[in-house]
Amino acid sequence: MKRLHFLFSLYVGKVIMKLTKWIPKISGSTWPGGIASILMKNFLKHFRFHENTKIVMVTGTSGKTTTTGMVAELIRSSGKSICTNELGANMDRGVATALIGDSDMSGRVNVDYVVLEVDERYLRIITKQLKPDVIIMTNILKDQSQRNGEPGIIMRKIREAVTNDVHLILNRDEPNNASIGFKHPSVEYYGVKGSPSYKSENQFTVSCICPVCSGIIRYEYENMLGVGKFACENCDMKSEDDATVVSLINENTICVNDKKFKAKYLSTYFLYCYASLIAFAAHEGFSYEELQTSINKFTIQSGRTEDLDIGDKMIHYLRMKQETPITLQNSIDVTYNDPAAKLVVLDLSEVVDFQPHYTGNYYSYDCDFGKLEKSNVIKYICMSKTVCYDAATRLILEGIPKDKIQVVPTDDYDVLLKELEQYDCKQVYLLTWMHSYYKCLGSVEKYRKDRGID
Amino acid sequence: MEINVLWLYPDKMNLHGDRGNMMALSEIASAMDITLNIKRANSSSEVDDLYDTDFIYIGSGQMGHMQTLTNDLKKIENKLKNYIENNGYFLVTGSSGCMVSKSFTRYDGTTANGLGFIDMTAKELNRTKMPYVTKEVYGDDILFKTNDDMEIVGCQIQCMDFDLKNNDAFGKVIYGYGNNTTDGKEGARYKNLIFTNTVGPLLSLNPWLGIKILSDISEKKGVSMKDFDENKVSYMNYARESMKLKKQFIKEKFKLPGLHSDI
Repeated sequence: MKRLHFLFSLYVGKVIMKLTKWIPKISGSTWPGGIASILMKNFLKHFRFHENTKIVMVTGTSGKTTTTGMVAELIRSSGKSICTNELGANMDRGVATALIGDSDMSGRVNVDYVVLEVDERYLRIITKQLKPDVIIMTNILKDQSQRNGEPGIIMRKIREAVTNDVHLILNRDEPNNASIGFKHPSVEYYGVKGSPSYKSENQFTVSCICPVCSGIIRYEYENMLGVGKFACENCDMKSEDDATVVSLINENTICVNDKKFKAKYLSTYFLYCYASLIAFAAHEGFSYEELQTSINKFTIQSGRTEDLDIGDKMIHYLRMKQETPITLQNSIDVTYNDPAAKLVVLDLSEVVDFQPHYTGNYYSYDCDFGKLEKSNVIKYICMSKTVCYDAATRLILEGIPKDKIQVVPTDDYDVLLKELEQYDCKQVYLLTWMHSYYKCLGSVEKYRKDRGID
Repeated sequence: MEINVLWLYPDKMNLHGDRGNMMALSEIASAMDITLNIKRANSSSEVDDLYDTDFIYIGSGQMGHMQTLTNDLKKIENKLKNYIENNGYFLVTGSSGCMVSKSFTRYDGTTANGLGFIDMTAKELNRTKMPYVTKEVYGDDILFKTNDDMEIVGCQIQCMDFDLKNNDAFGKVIYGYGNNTTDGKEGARYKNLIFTNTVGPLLSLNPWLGIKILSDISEKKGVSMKDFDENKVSYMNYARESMKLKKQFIKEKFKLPGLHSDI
């Protein structure tokens, strides 16, 4: 009876998938999996797999989509079959939709690998129905406080999902993530070799708490905010030395031990994704050649940076996610690394996730803005109709002179582009979230058209 | 004039950028010609007799560490108690409120004793009272008026409900969740021990509170700050403008049914 119930739900899902293919607005949505899951509780549990099929889940705060894409590319380019949700629908409905799409009429998924990006909050829900062989974790950081509250809540949920028979591939450089592997019977680690980089050190500089013993974590170096080689002052928690560690050799080469790989995306963010990929490949027995071929073929779906030409200026958009300090710090670091004279536009905006929207920008106090003052910034422009003054205050409290700060209390990017005209400075760095970027894009198109810029 | 600050658990309790409070207090002190000596202590063993301490601060932290850190503070409980009874200023923000309360109950039902400085209990949320939000947390703006008529704006990332017993609140909620959405009370105050649910940089958004605290401490030390011109604080005007924008935003925004709102 249950099987019939499942098959009915599956067929409904498949029909919806066929139908939605013809409706551009909802094509590729999670409707098939969503409706099938409404029709049958624990829908995922009833799919069947070949006994050799491996189920791999990728989870964590940031880097899930890229890592899933890299793993999927490795499997595909090695001639193996795969079912994946690599385009980012990572909750139970997205996973169900991927399985509906790749299953036959009996609900059997005949592939070598199922590779699933899984939202960290949904891991325990999905693993109750679908048993993973391998879980790759990227990091567990402060992220979307309004949803997640604190990393401790996410860790609690992840721990519920991690059973002893799952093989874990963990980031050794992020304490919360590394602690998930503490005493786990089957675990391996990956990391990125770094070196101490510039950070404004003063009496307000803070580290973080050890997830195991409540001691203090000290970093030998931080490759990204809260991610780097660390050790707890009080207990045995530390970045494991026995790990797959990626080093950057030059502008197109990375290496692990004595093996070199040509790679095109070389920011620290990508180095961590490569490291997890290489650790996974070694665990699953993929060859060096297969790995290199997949690294060559892998292309990111959408950029975290975009360049917008407005004639006498170039706006470099750096994507950040609100309430997620590591993304803002990464944007600051990219800006800092360009020694050219520049304008910095900071649009933190109010948080628009679910109701109630709110003006939280406290996460900016986790970031180091002080280093920007050493990178030739001519003017800081703080814009937003709600939190522009908070952003300006944030800069002042980092010691940035008030006369270098311009406050523009608007969300209107037409106004910003007009404002920029008064500065004789070619480079503009825009630090904001995706939604504001699209607003900016619209204004830039209009600006270019009005001024006849090709 | 010098004011001595004890910043408790700077590396351990900085969940929502709470270090911003120390940065803001330092900027305010500088405008008031006060030398602020900030001593950091990540363990009770680093805390001295508190005789020369004028202000203590603890930021918000993760619930999983609260019991360990409360047990650590219990080692200096008497020192802290004497400090509070002698009207020493002590600011506690966000989840750390459970440390100074009588007891706090975790999501799994286990209960631990707090320091009991405030007659209040705390309960971690398993399911918030608000509809449409995730189970364990409620995040929103908060606007409230303190008992001495000071308006404070900020944010709450609320993972627990506080129930005030025989103790004054720090203020009355104008908009937001406050201690528990139901009684309209925000935070708690016992003598100069202040607890507020406002997370992150409270004093950067509300420099008037920092000025009040430093002025009171100065008075206690025999230096009057009555003539201090608040405009000397470099970001005072930004804070005033920010308050106006936020009030407007709160006034216009969608409000969940059942949430306290007098705006």
